[in-house]
Amino acid sequence: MDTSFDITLNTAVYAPFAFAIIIAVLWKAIGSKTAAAIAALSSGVSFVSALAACWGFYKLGSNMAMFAPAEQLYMLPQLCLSGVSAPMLFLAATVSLAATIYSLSLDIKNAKLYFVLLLVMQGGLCGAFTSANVLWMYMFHEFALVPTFIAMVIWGSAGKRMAAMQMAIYLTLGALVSLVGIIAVYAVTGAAGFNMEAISAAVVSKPVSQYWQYYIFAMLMFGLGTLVSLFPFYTWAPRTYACAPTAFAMLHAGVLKKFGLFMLIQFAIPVLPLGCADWSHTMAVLALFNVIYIGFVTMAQRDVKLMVSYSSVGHMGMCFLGLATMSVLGVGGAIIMMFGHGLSVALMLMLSNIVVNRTNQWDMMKMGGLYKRTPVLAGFFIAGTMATVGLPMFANFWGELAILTSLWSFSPAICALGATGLIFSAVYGLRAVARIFMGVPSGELSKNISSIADISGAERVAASVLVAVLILAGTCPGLITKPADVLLKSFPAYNQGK
Amino acid sequence: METLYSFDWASVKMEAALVIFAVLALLSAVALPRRFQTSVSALAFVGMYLALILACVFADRLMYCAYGCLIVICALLTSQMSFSFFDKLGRSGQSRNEYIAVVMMSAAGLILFGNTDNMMVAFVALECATICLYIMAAFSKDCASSLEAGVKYLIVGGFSGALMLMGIAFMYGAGRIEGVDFMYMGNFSAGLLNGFFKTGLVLVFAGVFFKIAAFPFQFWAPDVYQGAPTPSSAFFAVASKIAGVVFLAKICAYLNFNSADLLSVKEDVVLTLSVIAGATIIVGNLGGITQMRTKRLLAFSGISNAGYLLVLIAALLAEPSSAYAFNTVLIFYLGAYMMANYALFIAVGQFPEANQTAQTLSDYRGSFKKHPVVSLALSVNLASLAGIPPTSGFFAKLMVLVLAWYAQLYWLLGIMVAGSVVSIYYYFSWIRSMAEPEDKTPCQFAPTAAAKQTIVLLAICVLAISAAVLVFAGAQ
Repeated sequence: MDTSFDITLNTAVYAPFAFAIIIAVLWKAIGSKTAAAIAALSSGVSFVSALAACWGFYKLGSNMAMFAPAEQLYMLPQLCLSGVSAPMLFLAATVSLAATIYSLSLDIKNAKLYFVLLLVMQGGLCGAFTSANVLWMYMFHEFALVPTFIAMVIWGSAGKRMAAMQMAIYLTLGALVSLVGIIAVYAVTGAAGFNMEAISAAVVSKPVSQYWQYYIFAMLMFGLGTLVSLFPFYTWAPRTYACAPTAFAMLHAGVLKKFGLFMLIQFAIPVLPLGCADWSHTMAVLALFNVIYIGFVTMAQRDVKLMVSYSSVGHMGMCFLGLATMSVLGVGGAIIMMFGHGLSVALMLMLSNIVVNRTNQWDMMKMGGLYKRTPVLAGFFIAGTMATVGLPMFANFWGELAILTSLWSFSPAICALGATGLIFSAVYGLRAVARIFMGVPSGELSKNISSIADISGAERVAASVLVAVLILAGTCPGLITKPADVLLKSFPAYNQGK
Repeated sequence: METLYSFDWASVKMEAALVIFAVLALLSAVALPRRFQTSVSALAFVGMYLALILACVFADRLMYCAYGCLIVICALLTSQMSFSFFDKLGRSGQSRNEYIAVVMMSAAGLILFGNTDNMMVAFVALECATICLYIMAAFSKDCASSLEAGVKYLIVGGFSGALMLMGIAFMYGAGRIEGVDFMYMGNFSAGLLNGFFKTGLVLVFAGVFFKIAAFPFQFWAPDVYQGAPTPSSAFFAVASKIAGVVFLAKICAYLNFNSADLLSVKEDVVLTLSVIAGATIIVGNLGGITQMRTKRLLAFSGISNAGYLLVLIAALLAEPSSAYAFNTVLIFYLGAYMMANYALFIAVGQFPEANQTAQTLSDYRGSFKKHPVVSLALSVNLASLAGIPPTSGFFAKLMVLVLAWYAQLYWLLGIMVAGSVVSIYYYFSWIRSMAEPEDKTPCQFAPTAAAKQTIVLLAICVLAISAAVLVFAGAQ
């Protein structure tokens, strides 16, 4: 790879850390406005570099190697891009940009600490998807987790005490169980290190026995599954997203949650294909619970933020269904789905928070008729809902299409049951639009409806960024599928299915 | 005939430096008037730094030097903590210098305890250290809880000393029957089929379990840590635990189960140690959940860490082929444990009253707002104890997990993971308290400049050491 790739990839990951350190060093000298400006600058730099790095990777076309490593920056961990990590890096940078821009519109107490934590989290997210070393992926993931905890406790909304603790315990449990799985792979194969390449090489020379594959994959599936809110380990997710400050919830639900799926796709399934084959039906059944059971739960929600949070748990079920097929089509669909869902859920969390702040109501039944006062907000909200439902033109559509197509050859019954997910999301999504924006304002809202302002400038920019990338990926899905195909086809594990 | 000149002083260089300077400091503290007391403290610090320098310059036996350095750093940090402690008590510099001298004596005893190969010397060294620890526990003479802690520690310590001495007597007797010198640890493998010897070994282990607060001898720790002056609690929690663990590891490194008739003995020993390790982890972590008092919480955290360290020792016994990595992992774990614990104990000491017996987690509310940098540093240290990457505590636990996997102690590994997850609750409760806004009373947490620097420095070390590990591991 050329030097521009090295520079852009390293900048994308390490710029947020560097700017966080700058804010910490200049703590006494700068005010909260300057800190916010530094954070915005950092996100912008990271976004542009991530875009350039991903474009550099995409330009390689069919020459793409499995992993495109970047030159190591001093003694910092080495980074590399692959067909899965490139879209994830771009997702992380995009949602980070939107979350930072959105934060600019807020009046935050102790803003310097807020932006330091936000930047550390962004760096952690970008690093988690691009590290060349499995151990470092794990560590970057925790870099992102701890700031969420602190931010939830300081700036969270009601019920944050228990929600923050529940999130920390669940996610640490999941992370530790998967860490034991990673150690097991390392110990059983006798790999020379935790490098992706070292482990891949060790697996080829000394394959893991079926016995061990069964148990190790179980650890990785349930450990990483907890991070992705796989049924029945999902209870932390809705409360966390409803309580966390919105920017952190956007990053967590949109990006951090995809880390478990990313590790399964790039590490667990290629290394342990027999184990995955043993567990794939269990995984599919659990994922159906995510789709159907959580679908019903989502429909019953009256709190708009909780509804969006539950819907994200449901959509993770679709991704797991794609993984269960162990085919290039299904897993590739899961990758687009992760990308699209990351953007759409971040958008929906942001918009629902705006709605709640404007109306001082969390209950959708007590809203209504906002369309006339806030047409632009309503427009974005409908666009976000359409993306969530999976209409064409949005990235999610291609994901759901590919997943369901490949599910048919995996099991027609599971395919049929999984397809109900589309119906569920249409029902609760459109009903939310109708209850919030259509009709006439109900109850207290009708008294102060005239004081409700439309979406502000910074919020508009943040939402536009997310919608633009959603539509870009929805109209040119090849940007994601081509690199992903190259990577997935190079893993024997994904060539057994159809 | 050995003379003062022929004696190999290099083998006890750290102990000698500490004892000589402790005696000098003690004598000059008594003889010199009040205005010279600061210089006396400086003299004591010179002794401790000299011990460190000697260990680094003449690093002949790496394990001994590394272990000795850890203990001396504990003594240094405890002595540093004693300054603000005695200021708050309103007592003179003379009392403080007496205290520092006692700490140094105790450190010398602990180093010798982990240094020697001879059971009799080990016992004498341990008693020398323990008597100093009794004094340290009861040093606030006017505070009832400190005296209570002193008495409790005296009784428990006396009991464990008696157990250990009895064990040594059994070993000596077994040695006379078999015609082997069982006072020397190198001969221990020869006695593994002798019932008397094994009884003695069990008693010695039980005595050390008291010292490191392992199940079922852990009950004293929360009471003593809570009552004792905070600098002393830190020394009990870290230095005496390090010494006990290193002593156990040393005995286990000498045990050799290679012959066929010893296989069943090995299985029994590994199983017993594993059960004790698992029970210690469970008791420590479950006990920690309900604690609101910071010093008691740190005691339970210490108990669970004793459990993780016992896992490491059980792994060494079960899989001797990984012994090459064992000492490194042990010292690394102990170093990580020391740094994080001292940072927290120093923070506990930064409240207006002298004895922090009643301090709770909610006393820290509002500290993130008032002292953001120190609070962030404390969070790093708490995360290190909880084993969250990228702190050195994570790497310590990771290495223990890897060695336990190689030793095929899978169920113990499960308990360890479960224990770590449970421990998140109480460590993160502390972070949560710091992040929450203060309620009616304003936040009393008021770290001095020295304390702030030390805590931040320890947090940086916690991160820097793991960075060093990564660079080292990355180079391989």
